[in-house]
Amino acid sequence: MMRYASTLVLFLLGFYLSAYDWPAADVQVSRTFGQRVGSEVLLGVEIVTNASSLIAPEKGDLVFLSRPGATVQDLPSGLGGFVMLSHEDNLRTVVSRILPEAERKTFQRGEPLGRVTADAGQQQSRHRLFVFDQQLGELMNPLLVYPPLVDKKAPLFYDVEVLAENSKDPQSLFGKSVLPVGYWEVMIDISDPSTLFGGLPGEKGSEIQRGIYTIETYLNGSELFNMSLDSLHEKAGAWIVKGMTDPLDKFLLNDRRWLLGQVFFNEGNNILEVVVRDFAGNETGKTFRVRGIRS
Amino acid sequence: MGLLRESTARENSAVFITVILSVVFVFLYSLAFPRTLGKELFFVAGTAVPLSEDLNQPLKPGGSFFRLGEHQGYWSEDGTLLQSLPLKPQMVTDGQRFAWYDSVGEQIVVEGIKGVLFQVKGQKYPYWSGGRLFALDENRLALTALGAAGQTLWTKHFSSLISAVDANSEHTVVGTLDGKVQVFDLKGNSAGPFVPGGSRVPVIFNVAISRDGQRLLVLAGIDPKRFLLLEKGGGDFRPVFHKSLTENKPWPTWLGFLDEGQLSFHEVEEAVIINQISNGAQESLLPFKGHLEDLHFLSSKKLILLLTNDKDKQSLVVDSLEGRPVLKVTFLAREVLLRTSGDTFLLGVDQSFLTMKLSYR
Repeated sequence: MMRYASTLVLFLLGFYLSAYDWPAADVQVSRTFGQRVGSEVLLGVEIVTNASSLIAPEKGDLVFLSRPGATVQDLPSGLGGFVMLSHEDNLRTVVSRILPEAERKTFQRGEPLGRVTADAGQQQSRHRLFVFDQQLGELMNPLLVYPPLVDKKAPLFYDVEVLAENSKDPQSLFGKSVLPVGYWEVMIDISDPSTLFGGLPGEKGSEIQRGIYTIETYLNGSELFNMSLDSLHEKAGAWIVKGMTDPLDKFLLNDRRWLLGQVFFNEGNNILEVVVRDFAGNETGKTFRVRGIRS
Repeated sequence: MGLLRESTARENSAVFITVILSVVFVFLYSLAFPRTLGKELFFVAGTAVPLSEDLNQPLKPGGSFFRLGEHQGYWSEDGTLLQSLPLKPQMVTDGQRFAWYDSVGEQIVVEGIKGVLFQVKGQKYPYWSGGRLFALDENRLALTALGAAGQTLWTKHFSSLISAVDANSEHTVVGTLDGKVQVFDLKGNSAGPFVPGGSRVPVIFNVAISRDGQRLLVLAGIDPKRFLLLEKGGGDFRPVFHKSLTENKPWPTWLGFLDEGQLSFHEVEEAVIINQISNGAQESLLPFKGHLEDLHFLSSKKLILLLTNDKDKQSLVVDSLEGRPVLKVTFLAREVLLRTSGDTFLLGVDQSFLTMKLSYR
């Protein structure tokens, strides 16, 4: 028992030591990897901070430095000024919306990358962080290398719906337990509620919605859908989640709605289980007992 | 004393005779071999107009849109300032048109001298290259090529941030921070990425494509940073010339073609190098102090105009293609703009606007 415990401690310690630092001590994550807002899917994480400058998350070589208003290849985007560092583990990190410091070849962990650029009238500055796996050509979920999120709220189901073939009228499983036998598409409405604090003492903070990390779905014990947002790679102009074949936008339909696939409800009892986890490891599960009837 | 006086008189007489003989020689030489003296290059200052006041006169064809500091505007062919307005969000121009982001309609609006030409819904970040309009996504991970009427030609997603885009009328070359270069045709087809390699850290800093689409220039890598010339062979581009650079600036530096693709140029540490494409080894060096802010080629005069910034001191440097200095003007400014049109060039300096003409006299 002691041996297992010490192994676990060593593993956790090793993970902690190898993990990158957030670019500021007071970082809060406002949007997560793969989260969709409107038509945009975030391919990194968005953070807010009260810090005046951001630091290197890990020792690395400076690969690229972009200053807004550059005279050559001043490509427009929402990133503003940014810095890309290359680290020893073949990962590259990008810290955006900063005014990069004077150029230098290498940065040690914790050395300043640049002063933050904040939106006018905003107390906190907002930044996007990306992690690229140079070897695999993938965009990696930054929360796999940055310190874990502190969040006690579990993901929240807004609805679990099924849609019959040749029908445009989805039916909520929260209010329905008897359905005709046949093929049905399963959709869930879900998000991860959280609170953002502005850094003022005694404030209540503002409620935000973050994306979810994993979805597992089973019908009568057989896996229907299993997705974990660990990394994304580009294929034929679309983003594919690692381990999946279809592009992300085929099953992430809007900000909260996921299409999990098609099931066949047999006559009699059908048990549909949906388990969702957020990036902090909080889990929410729903089990539905659907009785299939011959119409 | 008497001897000294006699000696001085003799020397004066010798000098006098030498001068007379020289004058006679020059006179006779000019008569015998008459020759016109070579014309000299003059920069003739034209108008100087303040930019600060809002100006919105009817626009005439042949001029050019511009952006300077917090202003945008239009000057006519003869250098008259016809429009000076506050800068619109995300405003970019190719001279003939300008594009900006309309946050109310959530669209890119493209305008010409007669007003709005078209809108592009759902796009926010416009970029002109080679007279063509592109739109980047929020994260520089996707590029959309737009047609002449604003229709989407193609959209491409990249697995690393886009660092450089250049286009001609048919091709678009895209460089990314993972060290890949891809060339797309008007339908978005690509022969696959080219990876320059040869450096410790793969990354693309700048790319350029020739007007005929037969050649590519690439600045790539760290330790060392490399300059590459690629030529089309079969379906893809192959390197025909490459060299390591001593400078290691980790951001895009100047690169491009000149003189209808006969020459290439690239920036090194406080100098621009001009290469003969037909003979990559033959190069000339145009030195400057500080940072290079802009570069123009006056094809009619075969001159290079460099706008440089050295500790907030701006200089307009004019050199011949061989690297001979022709002119240098230094001034203090925060925002500078240099545009050329034929033999006329326009220099925007903070709140004022100066037209100058080049002529041989």
